[in-house]
Amino acid sequence: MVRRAVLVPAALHRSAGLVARDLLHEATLRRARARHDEAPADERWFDDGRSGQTAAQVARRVAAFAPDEVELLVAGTHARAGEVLAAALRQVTAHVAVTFVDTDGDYLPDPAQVPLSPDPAWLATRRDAAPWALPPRTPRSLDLGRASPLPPALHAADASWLARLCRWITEHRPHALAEWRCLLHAHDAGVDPVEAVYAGMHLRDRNADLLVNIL
Amino acid sequence: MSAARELLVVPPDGPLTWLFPALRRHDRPAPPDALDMREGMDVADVLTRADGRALRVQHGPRGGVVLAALRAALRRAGRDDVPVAPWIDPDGCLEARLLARSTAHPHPLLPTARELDGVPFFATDDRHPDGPVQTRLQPGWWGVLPGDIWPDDARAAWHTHLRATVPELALQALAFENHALAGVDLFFETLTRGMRLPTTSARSGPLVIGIDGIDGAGKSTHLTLLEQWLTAQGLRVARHKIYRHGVFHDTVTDMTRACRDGHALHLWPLQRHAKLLDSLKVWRTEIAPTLDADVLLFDRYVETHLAAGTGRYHHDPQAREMLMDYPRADVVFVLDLPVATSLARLAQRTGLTVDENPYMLQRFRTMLLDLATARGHLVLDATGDVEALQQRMRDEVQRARTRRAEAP
Repeated sequence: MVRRAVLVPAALHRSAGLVARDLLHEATLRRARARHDEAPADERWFDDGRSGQTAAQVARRVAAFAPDEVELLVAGTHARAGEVLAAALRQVTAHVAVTFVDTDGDYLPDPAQVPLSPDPAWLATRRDAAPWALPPRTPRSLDLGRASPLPPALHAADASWLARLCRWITEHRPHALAEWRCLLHAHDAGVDPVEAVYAGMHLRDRNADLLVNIL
Repeated sequence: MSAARELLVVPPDGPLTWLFPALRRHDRPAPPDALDMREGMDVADVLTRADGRALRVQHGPRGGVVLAALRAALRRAGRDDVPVAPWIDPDGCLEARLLARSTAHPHPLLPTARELDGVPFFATDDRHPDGPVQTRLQPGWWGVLPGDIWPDDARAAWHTHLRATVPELALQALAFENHALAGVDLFFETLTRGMRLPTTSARSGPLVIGIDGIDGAGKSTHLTLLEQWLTAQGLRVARHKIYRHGVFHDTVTDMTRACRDGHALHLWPLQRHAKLLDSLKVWRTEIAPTLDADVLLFDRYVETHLAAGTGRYHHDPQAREMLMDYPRADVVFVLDLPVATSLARLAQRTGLTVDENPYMLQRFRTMLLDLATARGHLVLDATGDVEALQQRMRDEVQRARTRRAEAP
């Protein structure tokens, strides 16, 4: 009897309401669901990353299922979350296969999407408050070295583009500015507090580890 | 612009509506001519538009934070003469409206829980229908948490409730919980820090060299060798230590020990602030008098503070601003050492500090390496041959000296 688990990591990015859809993540979910439905197995287990649990909590549930095979599908723009979940899964099982999804083969160009490279002309044409969709493709200039709460497809690593984006938000989405500033501060500091919690580093959960020398 | 002598101020959105944007629909439009900070203003914008006129800030949890921030900004600008006072809005702030329209959530372990439109939130001030709720949480966090002290079973119940009702927001809520319990006030930071965190600019003066790394990496050894090499070339070298374990050791240890039950986590940042203030003192009393030297050598530099703060509670908005006196370094070396090796070397010392534990050392190491990547620091394997490492350092220092000499 083969027990197979298929998982997708949590989508951790924040955008102060700018982004309503992440098409690459959605494509990854579809692909993961297809793997879950179609791959040969006698018993199946699926997690779409939407449970709100930390990576360790998800891994414990996987361990309880005791799978023979674990497949983790990760949208290329969510690689850091994928690494966090993969590390947690490897604590409970040796059989973790990680697949990165870099593009949705069914991609059709949509002029409403954030372009693949910073394009001030595109930004200049955005006049309405309609939510954005992030493209179903990994950006060309993708640096996953530093943590950031912002989606990579917003190209926040490009300083001049980010400045233009901030001006656009100031003009067209002023109600989002307070939260946007909060996200930018974390981006500048190279931290993603949600990723840290996902990785089990909540201050209260780590309290004993932090105080071990003085208690 | 209005010619009124007094302006009403409506505070911007805070963490509760960042988490649950749907609750915004219960807010009301600002009065005519009011300064509506929900339209993207921060404190600096308000003071610019007010142009010296009196300000009355909508009374409420967020309003209290805005009021305090405005007064502090005016004080710094020498404008204590500008009146800033609360405005009791007869239609109520958003928090009051939410309380009035919500129902008590029937959860036995979460007595402060309310519910509106399926959104769970908490009333943690004196307006709770059942009476005042004591909490040390910063007011900007109103609604996000049931308080700062509650039993483990209640905390677990709240997390379960979040995952059941708003699973896509549960992890963000826990991240807010982390900051709120640690005393980090993200709402205040967005009012006062502008769009980007402050950065230090380069300045003329001595060449600035720092060596960072976790404990036991060999910083002192290499600093001594560098100092000897530079001095032998006829350069005046001043060596400094800005991160001093011994100072306030007993005080910060006692403050940190008080966090052991997980209910006084707001003391964590105080421990960090004590060390930041000590580094500021070191700048004024020890470093500033040596700015006529040719080279300043630092045993740990500002990156140590940044790594310690973000490594512990994932955000340290104040540290960068507090360290603005320190110039941008010309060269920073990060001596990278595995945590296990560091702990083995530390075992030979008597007594460990709070931070010298496996978890914090790993976080510290990770953040230092991350900063090195972002800032272009040179990362060296601390377990490598000392002479080979020292030669690499000297080559890099020489390149830095050349850059300085060639700079316009």
